[in-house]
Amino acid sequence: MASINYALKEISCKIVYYGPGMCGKTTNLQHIHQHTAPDKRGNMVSLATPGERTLFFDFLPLEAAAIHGFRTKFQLYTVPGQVMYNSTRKLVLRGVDGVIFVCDSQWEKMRENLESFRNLVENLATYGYSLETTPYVVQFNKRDLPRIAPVEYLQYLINPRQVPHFEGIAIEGVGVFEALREICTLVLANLAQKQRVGIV
Amino acid sequence: MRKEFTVISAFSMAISFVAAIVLCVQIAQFKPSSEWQISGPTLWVLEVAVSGTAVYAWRNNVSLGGWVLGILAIVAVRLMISTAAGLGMAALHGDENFRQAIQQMALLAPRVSAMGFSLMVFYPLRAFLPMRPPRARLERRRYGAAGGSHLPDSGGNGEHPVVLVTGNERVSVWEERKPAQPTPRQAAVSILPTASIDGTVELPIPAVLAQLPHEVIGDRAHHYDDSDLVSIPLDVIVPQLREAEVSVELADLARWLPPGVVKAPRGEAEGQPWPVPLPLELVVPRLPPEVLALPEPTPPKWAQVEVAESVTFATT
Repeated sequence: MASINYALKEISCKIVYYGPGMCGKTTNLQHIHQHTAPDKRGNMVSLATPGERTLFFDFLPLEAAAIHGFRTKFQLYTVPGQVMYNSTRKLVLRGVDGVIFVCDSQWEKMRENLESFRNLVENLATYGYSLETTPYVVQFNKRDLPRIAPVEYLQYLINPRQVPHFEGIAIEGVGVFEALREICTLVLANLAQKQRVGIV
Repeated sequence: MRKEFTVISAFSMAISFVAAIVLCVQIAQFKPSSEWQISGPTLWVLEVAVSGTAVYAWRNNVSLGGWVLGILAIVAVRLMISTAAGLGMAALHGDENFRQAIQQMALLAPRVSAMGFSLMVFYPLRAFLPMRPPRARLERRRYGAAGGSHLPDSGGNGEHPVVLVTGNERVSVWEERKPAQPTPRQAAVSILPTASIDGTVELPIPAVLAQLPHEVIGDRAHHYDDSDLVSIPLDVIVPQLREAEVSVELADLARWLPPGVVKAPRGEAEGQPWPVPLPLELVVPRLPPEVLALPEPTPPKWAQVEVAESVTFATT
C-alpha cells in the first residue's frame, strides 16, 4: 500500500503492470523510461532471459510533481507473464496501489488474457485485496497488428465493468502515458479519499 | 464399435468354426510322438495366457471384467471346437466311445489347432467386450497452477526451469489441486447478464471443416466453397463467449451441415463427446452487435472519486 512519509513530505505508490506473457508490459516500462526526464526517474532494473522474457520483474521509479508540498514517487513494476512464474507475480503484487492490466489484442491471445486477468484476481485475493478496492485500468495493446479482436469484444471479455481503458501500441508509445496518467490519478485520488476517512 | 459386427462377421465365424472342426479331426488322425506332449495344467496356463494377450491386443481399453469375459469366451469356443471335433471323429470311425474321442482332442496338436481357431472365431465378438470408462482429460495448466518457484537452469536459460518446491508450497500445490472455488470477480463476471438472442450465426463451411480432422470429413465436403454457409444457433455460441473459447459438438455440427459433409467417427472415438473448436476470429465478427452489448457501467468505488485539479497527475 502507499506509504506517506510526513517527515520527508513524500508519498510513495506502487503501480504494477500485469498481463499475459509477451503482451508488452516491459515495452510499456521501457517507453516510459526513455521518454521521461532523467532527473524525474531512476534507473530501470530489469531481470530478463536472453530471449527478452521478464524473469523476475522490471522496476522503474518515477517522481511526479509535488502535491500540496508532498513529493510523489511512483514505483512501476511489471510481472513475468509466463504461467510458471506465479509465485513471483504474487510477490510483486504485495502492497500494490494500482494495476495496469495489459491485454494482447491478438485473437489467439484471448484465452491467455482472460486467464491472466483471473490470475490477477486470485493473486490479489491472497493479500486480501480485490479489484473493488484496488484501482486498475486496462490497456488493449498491439492495436497495430493484423488479426486483432475488436475493442468491443475485449471490453466484453476483460472489462465488463468498463473501468478506464486505452488502446495501445506500446512499441510506438501509443496509449502508454495515457494509461499511466490515468492510474496515477486514480491511485492518488483513492489515497486522498482514504486519508480523508482516516484509512491511511 | 458394435456396428463392426455384421452378417459377414457371423458368416466368417461359422466358416472358421467348421474349418476348425475339420482341421482338428484331420490333425487328430496322426499319432503324436510322446516326447512332444505337454502336461494338461501347462496347456491350460498357456491357453489362458494366449487368450488374455489376444483380448488385450485387440482392445487395450477393455475393462477387467471384459478381459476375463473375453478369456472365458475364447476358452469356451475352443472347448466347443474340441468337443465337436471329437464327436465328429467318433462318428467318422463308427466309434461308440465318444468320451475317448473327445479326450484325444485334448492332446497337444489338435488342442493348439483348436486354440488358434477359437481366436479366429471369437475375433468379431471382441466388439461386445465392456470397455473402461474414458479417462477425464487433464485440464490444461492454467494461471495460478504453479505452486513452486522456477529458476533458470545453470546456463541462465529460462526455457527449461528448475522447479523448487518447499514444504509449505507443497501444501499450497495440493490445495490448488482441489476444485477451485469461484472468486468474487469470477462470480461477478458470471452473473453479468448474457444476451439471450434468438437466431443463428452464419459461418463458411470450408472454414468450419478446417477445424476437423480428416477422418471425420465426408466425401461431399469438397463440393462447398466459402459462399456456402452453415447456420449455428446463437444460444450455443453466446454462453461460451465469456470464456474466450467457442466449440460445438461434432454430432450437432453434423446436423447443421448438409448431409455427407461430415461422418461419424469410428473406433474408440465413436459415441464419445467430440468438441469442435470454432476460432473466435471466425465467430465474433459475424455476431449481431447486440450480443456484445455491455450493461450500464458499474464502476467500482475507487473509480467514483472526484478528482480535484490539484491532484491530477502532472505530465512527465
